[in-house]
Amino acid sequence: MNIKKRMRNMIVPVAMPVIVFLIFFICQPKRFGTPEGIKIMLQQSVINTIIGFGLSYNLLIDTWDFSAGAQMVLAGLIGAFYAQKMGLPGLIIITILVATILGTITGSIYFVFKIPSIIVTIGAMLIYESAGAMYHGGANVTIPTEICYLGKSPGIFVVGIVTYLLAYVIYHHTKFGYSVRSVGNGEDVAKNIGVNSLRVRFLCFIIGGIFVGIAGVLQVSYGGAIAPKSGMNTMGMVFPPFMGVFIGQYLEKYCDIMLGIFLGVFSMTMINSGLIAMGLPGTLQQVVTGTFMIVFMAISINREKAILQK
Amino acid sequence: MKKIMSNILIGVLLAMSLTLNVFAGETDKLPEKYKIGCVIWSTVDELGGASARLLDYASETLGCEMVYNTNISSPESQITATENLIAAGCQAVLICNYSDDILPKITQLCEENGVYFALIWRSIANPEVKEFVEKSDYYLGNTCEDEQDIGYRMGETLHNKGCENIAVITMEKGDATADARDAGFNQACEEYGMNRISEVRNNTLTAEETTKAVENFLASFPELDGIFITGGSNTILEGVIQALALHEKTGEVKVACVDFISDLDKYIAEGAIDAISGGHFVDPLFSYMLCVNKLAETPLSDTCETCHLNFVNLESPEDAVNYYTYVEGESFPYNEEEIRNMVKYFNADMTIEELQKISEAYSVNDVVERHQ
Repeated sequence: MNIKKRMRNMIVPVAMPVIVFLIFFICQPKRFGTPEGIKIMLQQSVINTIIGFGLSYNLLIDTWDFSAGAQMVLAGLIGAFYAQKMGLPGLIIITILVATILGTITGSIYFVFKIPSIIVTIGAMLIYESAGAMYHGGANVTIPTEICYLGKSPGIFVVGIVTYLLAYVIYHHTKFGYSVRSVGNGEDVAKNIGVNSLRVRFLCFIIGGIFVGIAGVLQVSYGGAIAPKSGMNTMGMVFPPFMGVFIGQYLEKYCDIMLGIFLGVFSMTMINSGLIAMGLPGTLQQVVTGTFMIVFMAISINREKAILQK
Repeated sequence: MKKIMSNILIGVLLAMSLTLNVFAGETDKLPEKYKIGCVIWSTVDELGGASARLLDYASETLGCEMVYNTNISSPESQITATENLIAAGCQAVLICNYSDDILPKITQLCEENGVYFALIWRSIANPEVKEFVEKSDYYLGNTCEDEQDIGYRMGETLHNKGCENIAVITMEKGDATADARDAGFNQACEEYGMNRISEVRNNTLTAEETTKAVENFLASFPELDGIFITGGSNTILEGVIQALALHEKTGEVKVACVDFISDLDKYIAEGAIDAISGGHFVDPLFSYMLCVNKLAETPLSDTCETCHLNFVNLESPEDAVNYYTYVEGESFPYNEEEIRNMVKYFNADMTIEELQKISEAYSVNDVVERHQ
């Protein structure tokens, strides 16, 4: 690898977060980019990054999972309920277990009925949301402050780093990871070399469930409470991680995709924090975030097309 | 002979007791089991759940049936929800409308199907819509709180507690209730010279997202000394409390919120909440009474009517304990006798003025005095 390429691989992935940071820092030097502020933004990026890890396996093989938010809420509700009796072990074990089971159920429906993932996961989302609204009378669940330490520094960073390593190893150093990449690069070719693509897709839902469960533990610990959501409201929870995965996929040429997902989510978090620091009205904050997503996707997709045409 | 006589006597007594029971049963319930629908966002959260329990209790007392439709995510979907309730055979519908704009269509639907309707937690702000709706014979009226006033009072309380730089957590523009509370708060900011330094608008905030929002406020505005939440249910207030606790700002950054959550006595004692108003879960009961009286052919008024309700303010842990003991715990703010007395069929003296008096008198003290 020549020096120029190495430099490019180092500069391009960090360019976006650096540019976003500089824009807000120049606009609001006193309010944005303080050491405490950076720590808070990093902390806030962890949960969406972990959901992004879970979604990435599915998205890499063009499978959409809109049920991840509902899985996280239902698993979080059940986990938080058990945390009141069993403490932190109850929260961790039950939340991850339930999310994995829900991932398995979604994967099984997809595997058995072979219907498009969007339909399967939206259907599953509605079922999980309703189950959450019925669980324990649909009540909110609050956990004791003493067991919330995974939701704050340093606990949240330790979980984030361990989960990153797990996602990295699964993607780069397991047979499943190779299969995901091979199906992602072309399903027909993958089938010809003996990869069972349907089985890979099924496993993606299960692995995704594990990551969603980990994110659920952090979400409950971070907010200290969790409430059921209905009316497709959990769908909005998967869009920031989706955006992280899209950015990660774009940055895969330059760095590890999982690192790219983190950088994408971190950039989005900085935009949210920066808009609040600028004191913009809430409605305008959403306009800016939406515009950023469209501009980023337009640039990255059109740039790829231009390279291919050359 | 004696045996025959005693058997006859027992038979007569049995028949008499049965007749008396049936008679007693008849006077307890309305002549018909009226089916009343309710378009509400949820029957499982703190506010919606408490209201649904109260309406169910009132219906059980009066011999009516409640049907809820919570499948609403937008003002437009409330029209569909009303249509579904009408199709399900409801004779009257209570609606917590998200926007005035859907009311002409709902009025039309109700007129076409001969179904009465009343609004809960809402008043009609748009004068044209108001004129149109109030002309209808099927619109019975509404129950509402002074939302702008409560926003103003929350702002005033924050000012009295020494706040100058306040962040706001509210709903997206278009939600009539949140907008009115927000307008009242803005008025207080102008009058007392407080700065509204930042805001977050989101209709579907979770505890985690609220914690994030508050952390962003804290990171960007070190001068932040107050937070106003226009609606604290669905773990929004818990998220604010959690964020302040994480950054050891509990008590330092004052919190004012509309809507009650559980464990209020604990939070007030810890100094995590500085001003909180709510308790308006009884609101739908008064619109329900407008409907029941009309359906029982003992209408309280020939025109549409408004019942006003005051928010309950909790300032001390004792207030919270009293509230949950007498108002929103295992007991209801109105017992079976009081509920029956709100219906002219059972209480010939009931008038609209009397019902309005009951709604206006609602407070923790009012309930404690009646039930202690």
